[in-house]
Formats: sequence, C-alpha cells, structure tokens
Amino acid sequence: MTFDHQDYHSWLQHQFGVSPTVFLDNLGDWLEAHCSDSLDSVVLQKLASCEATGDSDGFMQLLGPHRNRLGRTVAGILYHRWIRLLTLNHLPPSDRKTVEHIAIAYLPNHPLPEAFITATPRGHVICFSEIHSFGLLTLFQALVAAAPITSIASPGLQIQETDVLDRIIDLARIYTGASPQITLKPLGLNENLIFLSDLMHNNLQLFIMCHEYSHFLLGHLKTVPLPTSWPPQPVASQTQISSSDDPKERDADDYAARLLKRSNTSRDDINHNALIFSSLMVYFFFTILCRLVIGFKLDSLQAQLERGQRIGEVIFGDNAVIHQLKEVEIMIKALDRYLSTRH
Amino acid sequence: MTGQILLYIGDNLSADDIGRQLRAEGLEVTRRHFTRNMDALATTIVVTGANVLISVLNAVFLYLQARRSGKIVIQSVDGWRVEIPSTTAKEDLQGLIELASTKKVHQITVVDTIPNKPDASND
Repeated sequence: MTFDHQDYHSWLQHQFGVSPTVFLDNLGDWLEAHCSDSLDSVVLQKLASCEATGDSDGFMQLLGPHRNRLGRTVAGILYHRWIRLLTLNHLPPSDRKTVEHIAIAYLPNHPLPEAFITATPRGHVICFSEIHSFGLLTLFQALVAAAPITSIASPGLQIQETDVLDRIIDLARIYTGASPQITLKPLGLNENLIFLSDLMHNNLQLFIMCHEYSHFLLGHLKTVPLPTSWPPQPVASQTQISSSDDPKERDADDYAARLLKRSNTSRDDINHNALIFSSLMVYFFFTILCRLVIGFKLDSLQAQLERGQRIGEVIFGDNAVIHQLKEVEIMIKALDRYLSTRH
Repeated sequence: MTGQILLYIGDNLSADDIGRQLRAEGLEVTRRHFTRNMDALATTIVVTGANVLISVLNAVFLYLQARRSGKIVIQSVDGWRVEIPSTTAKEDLQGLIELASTKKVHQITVVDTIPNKPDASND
C-alpha cells in the first residue's frame, strides 16, 4: 500500500482503529457535509468565514446558540476548532506562524481519555479523544453544581455535595473505561453554572492546546524522527508517556502558563488567573483519582502537587497569594471520599 | 467472540515485552509510533481478539511470572475486583481467570510491586 502524504486520516485510522476528523479539512466543505441539516446556510458560511479570519469571538457567538442542535461529535469537533482558533490568537505572530500549519484531529471512538501529539510521515498531529473532551466538561459541570459561587450571581448549591462526590467517582470509572456503561443523570444546571463550567473547561482545553503547541515551539519534538513507513509500525520503544516531572513537560507548562496568565493587577485579572489555575488543579486531581480507580497507588500525588505548585508560581508570581476556586476543594474531597470508601 | 480490553501498564514495566506476549497469544495490539501526552493516566495498550480477557490474563501473567514481581488488577463494570500477584499458584490462577471470565471486564491494570527497584549494578 502506498502512503499518501496528504492523508493524515488513513494514518490515524490505521494507528488507532478509529475514524478521525482532521482539522485541516476545509471548514466550509466540512460544515456543508455534516451540518447542513441542523444549521442555516448563512450560519455555516459565517462560521467558515470567522475561522478563516481568525475571529474566535465571532465563531463562538455564532456556534454557542446552536450547539444543542448539533450531534455530540459534530459539537465536539467544532468546539476544538474554536479552541485551536482561540489558542492561535494568544500566540505572538512569529509563534503562530510556526504552529498554525499543524493538523488537529478529533477521535470520536477512541477508547482512551487523552489529548496527545502523535507523529505521522507528514508531520505531527495534535489529537483529542471525545471521551477526554466530554468527560472533563461533565466533571466541571458536577463541580460547579456543588460549589457556592461568589464571583457571579448564582443561587449556589444545586445538588448535595456528597452526591457530587459520588458522581465524580462514577465519572472517573466511565472516563477510564472501568465502567463505561454507567449513565449520569442530567444535572439541569442553571445558566450561570453552565457559564462557569464552560469557562473552566475552556480554560483547561486552552491550556492543553497551548501546552501541546509549546512542544513544537520549544523544539521538543525534533529529536524524534517522523515515521517513514506505511502502514504504521508498532515501534514500542519510541512510544513515550510523559511524566509530570519530565523537564520538557515542565517547560511546556511554563510556556502555556505565561501565555495565558494576566498581570494580577485587577480583580478581573486575578479571577481570570484563578480560573486557569483551578481548572488545571481539578484536572490534575481528577487524573490521580482515575489512576486510583484503575488500580494504581497514590504515587502520583506528590508529582502532581509539585507540578500544580510550579504552574501556580508562574501564574501568580507577581501576586502575594495563589488564588484557587472552591471547585478544587471539592475535587480533593472526591479523592478523599474514594480513598475512605474503597475496599 | 471478539472483544476489546484496555490494558493500563504501570511504571517500571515493559509495554514492549507485554505487547510481544499478547501478540504471541494471537491478540491484536494497538500501539503508537510516538506520542507525547500532557497528562496520560498510564501507558496503555488497546487489545482486541477472540476470548480477549482470558488471553490477556494468561499473557500478562506469563510476563509477570518471568519477572517474578508485579500483579494484575481486574475489576468488573459493577465494581467486583480481584488482584493476581505474580506468585499466584497455577491452580489458583485458573480459578481466578475462570471467575473473571464470568464478569464484565473492560479494563485491566498491571502494576509493579517493587517500590524502589535497585540499580542493575546492585544486583
């Protein structure tokens, strides 16, 4: 079989056994093929135009009201296209030019919850699995439902805290594949809480995207040659799982944190920084919970805490105090509950 | 019947060797050429094949037995959980595998049981 260098699709499909959507597809054509039944043609044209001009705000203003009319996968694909656009807009022009050609892929049926970079003969591709994306959104929705909110007008608690803790533990079982058939009842969040959970999720996804781009910008991938053979060979020795204390991961964290943080000179800026930091801490603690659920020990806790502390120092370096939201405490309580109730 | 299992592999264990053992059992193993994850849960292999659960357990146990350390953690979708250390006797192993095969299991974890592996120079 001859490998077509233009075709990320077949590479990823062969590699992961799932059919990906690769983001270098022309958005206008893709929307026409997948959304013409659910979205007005004017909206489709405007979405494609917003992406072409780098208008991330316009893109989400158009997409937001229509997201519920789209299927889960289509909504996920468009969401990540928006995150990509948002990330590119945060980058300095020279960095943007370096990374904007990089393909992004969305993997709807990939069984693992992950965002990662993988190498193809044509170049690297940043991939997001659907379970990663929706699992984390569901996590933030549960957390905001239990956290009394002071930063935006809200009636506060929508659900008992212990129910939320059990929901988070169930979510970890779904997320890791341990119990994929568990169904979570809808929470029926009010608009303010949906807004806040989206905000936390968006900030986390933005950080992840910046982090992945920074591997390119910092030259971390130059030491690994791109594969040249087709079909993909299972070269296990080149498979790399990064650990929290890997210096390249630390550098990528620092780059992403510096790019996204604000100066801490106003209450709004501090709130913004607290959102980024808290979203990440929730993610790190959730990862620890997931590792526990699948049978590992609490061995990654220290490394994750140190990683979070380092990111906190970058984000709040020009401030006396590191601020974090109540959601982080609730996530820690979920971890405690799992540890105290497991046999 | 063909099925799929996610196999999470702990630190200090060789995904290469486990992959080879799984292939020797006739299973299809999905591995990547190169990936870098921001925060992967663990090195993971997706295994597909006939009688996948029994074949995976046998293959991984052979790997651990040769290594003389480590354990397999099995849990079913309804929370049933059992651990199989590398030192498990053959007759006990078969009983546990038979029991596991009556449960719905989508994911297995294999972990090292040596907390601080000594340097090769100290062997």
